[in-house]
Amino acid sequence: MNLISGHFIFFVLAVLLFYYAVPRKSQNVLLVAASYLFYFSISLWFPLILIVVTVVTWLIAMQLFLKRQHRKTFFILALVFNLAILVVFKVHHFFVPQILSRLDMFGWQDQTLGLHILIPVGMSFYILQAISFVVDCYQGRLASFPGLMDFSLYLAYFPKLTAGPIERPGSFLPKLLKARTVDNEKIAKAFALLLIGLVRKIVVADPLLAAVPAGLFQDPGAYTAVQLISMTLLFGLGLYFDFSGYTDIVRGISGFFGIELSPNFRWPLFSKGISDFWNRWHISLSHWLRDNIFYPLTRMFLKKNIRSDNWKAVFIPPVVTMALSGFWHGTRAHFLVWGLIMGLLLAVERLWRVKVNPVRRIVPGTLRNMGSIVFTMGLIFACSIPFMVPLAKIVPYMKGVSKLNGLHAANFRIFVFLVPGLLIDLIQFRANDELVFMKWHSSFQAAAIAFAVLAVLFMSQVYVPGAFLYQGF
Amino acid sequence: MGKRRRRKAKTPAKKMVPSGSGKEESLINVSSRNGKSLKLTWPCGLGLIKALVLLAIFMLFTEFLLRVPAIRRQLPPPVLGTGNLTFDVTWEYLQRTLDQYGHVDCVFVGSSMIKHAIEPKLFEKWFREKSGLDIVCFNFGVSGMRPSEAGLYKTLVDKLGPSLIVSEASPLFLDEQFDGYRNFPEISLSPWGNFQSGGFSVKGWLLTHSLLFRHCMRWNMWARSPEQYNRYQRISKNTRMNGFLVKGHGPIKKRARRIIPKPINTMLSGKVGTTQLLDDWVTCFSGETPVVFVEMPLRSETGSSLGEEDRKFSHARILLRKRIEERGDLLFSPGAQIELGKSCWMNAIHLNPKGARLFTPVFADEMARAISTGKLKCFRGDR
Repeated sequence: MNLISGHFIFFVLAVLLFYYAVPRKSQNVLLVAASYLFYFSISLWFPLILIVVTVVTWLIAMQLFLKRQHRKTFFILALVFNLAILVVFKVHHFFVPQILSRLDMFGWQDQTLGLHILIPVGMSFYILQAISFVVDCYQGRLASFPGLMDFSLYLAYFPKLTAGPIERPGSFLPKLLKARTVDNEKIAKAFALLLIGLVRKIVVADPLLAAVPAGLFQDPGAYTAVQLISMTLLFGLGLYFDFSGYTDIVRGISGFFGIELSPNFRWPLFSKGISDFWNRWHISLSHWLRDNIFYPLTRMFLKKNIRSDNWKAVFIPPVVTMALSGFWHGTRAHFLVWGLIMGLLLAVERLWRVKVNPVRRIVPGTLRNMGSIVFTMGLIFACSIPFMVPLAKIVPYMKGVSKLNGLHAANFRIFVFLVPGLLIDLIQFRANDELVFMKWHSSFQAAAIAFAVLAVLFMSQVYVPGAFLYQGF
Repeated sequence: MGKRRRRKAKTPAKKMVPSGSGKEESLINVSSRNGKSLKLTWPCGLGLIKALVLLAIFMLFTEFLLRVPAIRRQLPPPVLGTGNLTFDVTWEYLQRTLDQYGHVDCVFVGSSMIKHAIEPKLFEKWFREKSGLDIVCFNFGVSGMRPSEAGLYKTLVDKLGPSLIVSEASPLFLDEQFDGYRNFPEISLSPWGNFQSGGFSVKGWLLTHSLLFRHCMRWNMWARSPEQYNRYQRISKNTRMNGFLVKGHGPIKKRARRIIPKPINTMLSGKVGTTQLLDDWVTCFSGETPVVFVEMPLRSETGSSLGEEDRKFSHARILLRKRIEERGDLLFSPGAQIELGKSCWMNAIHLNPKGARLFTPVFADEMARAISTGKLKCFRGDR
């Protein structure tokens, strides 16, 4: 069931209807049932894995929460269990083709078998949440231990199931446990988020992504330098608007149920540095990695040597953290390379800020900020090429770019679709408020809603809304 | 939604409902055993209602403006999204012609061959001189039009109710395997074409009924595919309001290689299905409107391989002509017998404007003669 489809709208409306009709105590049960129904609609066996993860993690975490003995053992057991599931499904494509060829040898030619061993949609997201829960239990951060139903809802809650945001148990579980009331203000907020998300996805992301040729990263030799650069840029921006649109949509939908989801983006296109970018891009993942990998690693290195010239503490934590981020996105080598590059960038920036930073003294504030934004974005896009281009194609890609040809045949008009997206980001960034539109005069609000609805309606007819890219991770 | 509404939301219930009346203050209070989950107070969704009203007004107003003939004529033709740019332009110009005259008496249908060969304005002029009838003509020749898409022409004929249909009779046009079709997507498979044949889709409906949406599609083409858009602009510029195409599409790039004319026998498939397609084609127009089949002039120079010496092509032509004569209810105009010099041709199969200026009067004469001799009936003309 695609999130932008008539089926999903009908599904959400039906769940909402029952949600407000049943007693409050049964609302979480209903949401769990709806979430599993939604997951069943994607695949019949995906929910089975989720059930196993939920029950096993909950049982082990209960031991962690209640018992004082063997806590470390239970903690490692829970971590190994969750990571093993994630790793098995993430790396399966290394050995699945071999298994299939073996089966083929025995005359079992089931071409669809490979398709059944796909990574379950959303697994990368709910496994991280399960690990968060175990860590919080181990560190005693949870005030009370949730029941199985509430924990199931924490992992399976359908608006965030397929691509996050990755919620922290400390902030999300209390929302599930307390009484929820949805009033005018919450409905208006939810609707605003939903509409902003739809504009980002349908009006901006879909046209941008549709303009990127299917074989751009597989056969870069067939394109001119300007096409390669402009289309890579389009893909990057399309990915951002697609994912931020998704996040706004699911946050909007969740708002109708009175459950607030965490924001995933804080206008990353206006980042003034690499670390600033990672505090603005896919925040829930960045923060998860920061709290569970970066901080513990840094603490570990600083424990041995607390001095500022401890290079290990400066370099190793960001590199390891970002390499794991690359692995989380996929087990192919280019994701790992991308992670390592990003880690190195973070480490270098850390050094730069502490040790050098001469620009701050010379260049005035506004100019420095604008320069920082342009420089950061340029660097991020350049270093994200390995994220998009398979490793074997990097050399042909760079060769193609170095030709510096094709300016006459380039299509820069497609960038016009960026205008509404950038405008929304700019307005929100300047006000430092994603719902700044709700503070506008009612006439402007009405006009903005009218144009947004019109644009969404028309563009949804021009382009068939595609699946969200991040659901693929 | 904003601050103002939020402030209002807290207070009005006190004014609306007297305190102590025992009635609920809120608009909706969905109560559950432990309290209220959904608590909506009036005004709720006022911003959205305002927006929807504004949206409706804006859309209706813009749609109305775009439909005003004087404004419509000034704007570039909107697209139908069929993928066949000539068809999209021609369809729009037909609407504009109808807006201007209210009717079309004679419509020329077929492929790009007829589109380049008959200049409706000249036809009207000669026809008036010879028969005294004042008629309005429109050339609905479409590059890459397949005879199997006759259903679309039926839509056209039903819409226009013309007094005379002049159809191209070319073995090329009536060969479904003609390799020239490869460059043109099937119109009937597009959302618009599908909607015309009864298959409902929102996009099809919007393309049929909303000029605003069609202009949005044009802007989308402008942004997504500049090359295609420039070609579209060129076609709309080169097409006259009566559907006559003055020039071809021209090369896409300025210095593109010159396309060498292909021998016609390689264009035709081994099995020319002219007779069956002809029957289908004619059935589509069966009604009271007379149909005249006109054979397109042929380029008979040595080396072009488009002359009488081409056996396969000649065979197909003879077969086609024979079938038309067998039916008995169709008029046939043997345009291929007209000799036109080298300077009259734009390429191997299409006439240039000079060629059209020579061919059109000859054909108009023949039509006028057919009316005066009673061969052509039911011609209303001079409305």
